[in-house]
Amino acid sequence: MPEDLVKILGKILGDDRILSDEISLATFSFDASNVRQMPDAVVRPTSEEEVGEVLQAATEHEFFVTPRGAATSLVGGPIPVEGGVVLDLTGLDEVFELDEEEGTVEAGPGLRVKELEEKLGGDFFLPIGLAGGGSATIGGLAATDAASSLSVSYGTMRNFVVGLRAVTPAGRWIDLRGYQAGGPRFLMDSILGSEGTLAVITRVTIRLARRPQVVTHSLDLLDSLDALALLSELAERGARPAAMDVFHRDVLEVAEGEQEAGARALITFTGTSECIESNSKILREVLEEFKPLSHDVLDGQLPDRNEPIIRAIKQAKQAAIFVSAALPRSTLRDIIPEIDRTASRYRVSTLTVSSVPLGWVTVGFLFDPLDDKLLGRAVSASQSAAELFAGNGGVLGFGTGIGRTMAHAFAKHRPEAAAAFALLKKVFDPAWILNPGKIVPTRGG
Amino acid sequence: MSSEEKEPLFSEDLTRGLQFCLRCGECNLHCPVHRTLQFNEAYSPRGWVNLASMLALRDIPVFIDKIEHMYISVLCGRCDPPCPYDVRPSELILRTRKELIDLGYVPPLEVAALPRKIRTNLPLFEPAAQEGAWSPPEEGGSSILYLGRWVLNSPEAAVAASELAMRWLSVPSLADSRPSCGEVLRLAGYFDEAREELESLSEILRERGVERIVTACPEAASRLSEAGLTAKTLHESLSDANVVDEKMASKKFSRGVLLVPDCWHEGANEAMFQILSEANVPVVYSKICASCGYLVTYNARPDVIERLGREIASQAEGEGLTYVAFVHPAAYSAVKAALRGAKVRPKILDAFQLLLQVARKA
Repeated sequence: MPEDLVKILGKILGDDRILSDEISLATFSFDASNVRQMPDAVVRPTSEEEVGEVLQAATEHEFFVTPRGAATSLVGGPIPVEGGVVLDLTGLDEVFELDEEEGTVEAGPGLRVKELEEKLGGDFFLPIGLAGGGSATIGGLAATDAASSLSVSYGTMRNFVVGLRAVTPAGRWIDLRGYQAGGPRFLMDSILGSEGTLAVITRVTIRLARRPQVVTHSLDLLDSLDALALLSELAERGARPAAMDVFHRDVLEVAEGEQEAGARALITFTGTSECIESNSKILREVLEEFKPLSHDVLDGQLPDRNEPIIRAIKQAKQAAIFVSAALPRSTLRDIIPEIDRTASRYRVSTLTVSSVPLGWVTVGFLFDPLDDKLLGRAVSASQSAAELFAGNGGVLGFGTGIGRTMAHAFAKHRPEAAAAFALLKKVFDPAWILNPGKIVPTRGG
Repeated sequence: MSSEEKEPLFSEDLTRGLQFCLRCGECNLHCPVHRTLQFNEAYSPRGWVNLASMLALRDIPVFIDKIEHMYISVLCGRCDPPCPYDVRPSELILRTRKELIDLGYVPPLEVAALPRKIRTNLPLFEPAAQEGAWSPPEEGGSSILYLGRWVLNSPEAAVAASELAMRWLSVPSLADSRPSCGEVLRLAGYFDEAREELESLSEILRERGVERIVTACPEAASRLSEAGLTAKTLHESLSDANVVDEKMASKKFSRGVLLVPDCWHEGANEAMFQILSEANVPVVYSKICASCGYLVTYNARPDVIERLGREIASQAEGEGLTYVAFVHPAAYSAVKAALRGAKVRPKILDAFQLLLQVARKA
């Protein structure tokens, strides 16, 4: 870290957009995970060119740069774990093009989802990050390839990105805008989901989805295995849920106290009225066999994967460390009890939700923020769960990014993928200055 | 030394509350200060809570810059409802101010001066400019218009409020600014002094046999009601009194008014909206609300209020409105002072000055 960092940055940006006072450094040291680290400086560019110049300076003078959007990450993605400069991209929120008929927007990465949807009126929506009120930035969602319950039918964030412009640490620009479907998708896909480790996205074109008709069925079942079997049965009979989340016993007990139900399934159908009705009919037939403890039909309601989790956290009055992965569906039956055993081993409580069709499991390990011993056990349990997922063929960080919290498990259990990442890193960021400590914990993996 | 080996700076309750914020950032979207200061995380509910949390755990030392920083929030409370975890960031910020004071860390100079007796010397109250005196000194009656501490900053709004109350509600009595209802003290973090002030005020009003209190300040109505007195805002009292000359109002404010609502008093906002709408004045609500939290913030960081004021003025201009009217007179006085000398096109008034301009003859 050069001592005259602020001086170097001062040649690129005005003094008011370089923050090095203790208050600023403190307030840019966190996200929604438990990872914390203060940067040495924060820069707040307002143009793409400034972003490129900051990266070039970082490569030349060898200081680390950690890109940051709204810092809603659950996995420490925007935390400058090695120090250096935080690149605050929230100032790049300009909308360059807006097609209200097609639902397409070209904008800076700092634009928030809520503002994006407001600009396009009520007909369109981004089926990603549904749980929040829209504070995440589109750049953050693209960089982490974020997901939601509806990713079963809509795919992850990369499915909505139809163009992007990015800059590498060497100051090389990658412009992949203006292609129709069938363009160089593979080039775009190498940047999307790379968590700001290869290049910084400075402009992104997104095509939103049209808001569908929707019906969500809420079912209380005896246990998680019933929920898994239910999905298989639905698939066998030709029903196609747009989303199916299962909240496991731990969530229900923490949020609502002990009860007969061992799992709650939210099954969502979207499409035309006929389509929804035919799927719902199949569901009702299947339920005759499964006999749920309760069944509510929520007309017009999109699934909210986070609501029961939030309710449980409020009830427990604790914080949580999250681990997320997409697993082969066949492993879910064994993984869910294994999570319980991990929790018992470390004497922590868990909150488990799975999106069954995706095999996407997210586990929160609860801890009291003022109890360091419990925090330590929760961290160990989360590492153990990450290793469990990786060891069972899971894609770590699905929906959230690997970030910092799952980097060790990723490097340990996916050495060949970590090596491939190092190869890409060598091309994009040979000086290894961009978002260090993420995806893999160290330069050597 | 790691934080687990240190005794938290704040009470366990506050420290726990600060840690319970999961830093999801939903609150930031709703903060007018955060938006006005270009989404800088340092000026956001999440940023303030995180800073307070780091102070609590002694991860960073307390120093004047951090104390002053805690006073940049205008405490409008817009961050509270969106919080998925019911953390109530504005309350955490307020409690942090209080505990810093309890620990002996003084807030910014002007804020620290608030509990001291301040000379009024306002023409409105001459010749009774003596501190703590009431004007008229001995006149009582069952009704009283209570103005509040904000009149120190805005005698023109006080004159208008007094005139309206006297003309339309036959409420002739005026109260001095001290003792106050204590709200500004509370927002500054002086909880105990605030309580004492409110008790003193309630005692005086009870002693005088006041049965009905009309307040020019919406916060005062709430505080006095909490103290068991019968208080109503002047805004709401006027809304029933048919005060506006419709013809004059629709002519004078033909291009419309941007109404800046009080963050905490829907009743006062609705009353003003109704009065103006019934007089056929086009009214648009400002995107930024403003309450007496502005006074504390204004004292600590006038540039923040200046920027908020400019944003309000810019909205008015963008919508082709020539007047901006603040429901809360304290917010008006803070913004007016912060914008002094600045070129701002729309005319900025408080609700009472606006109404007085178009009031019918009683």
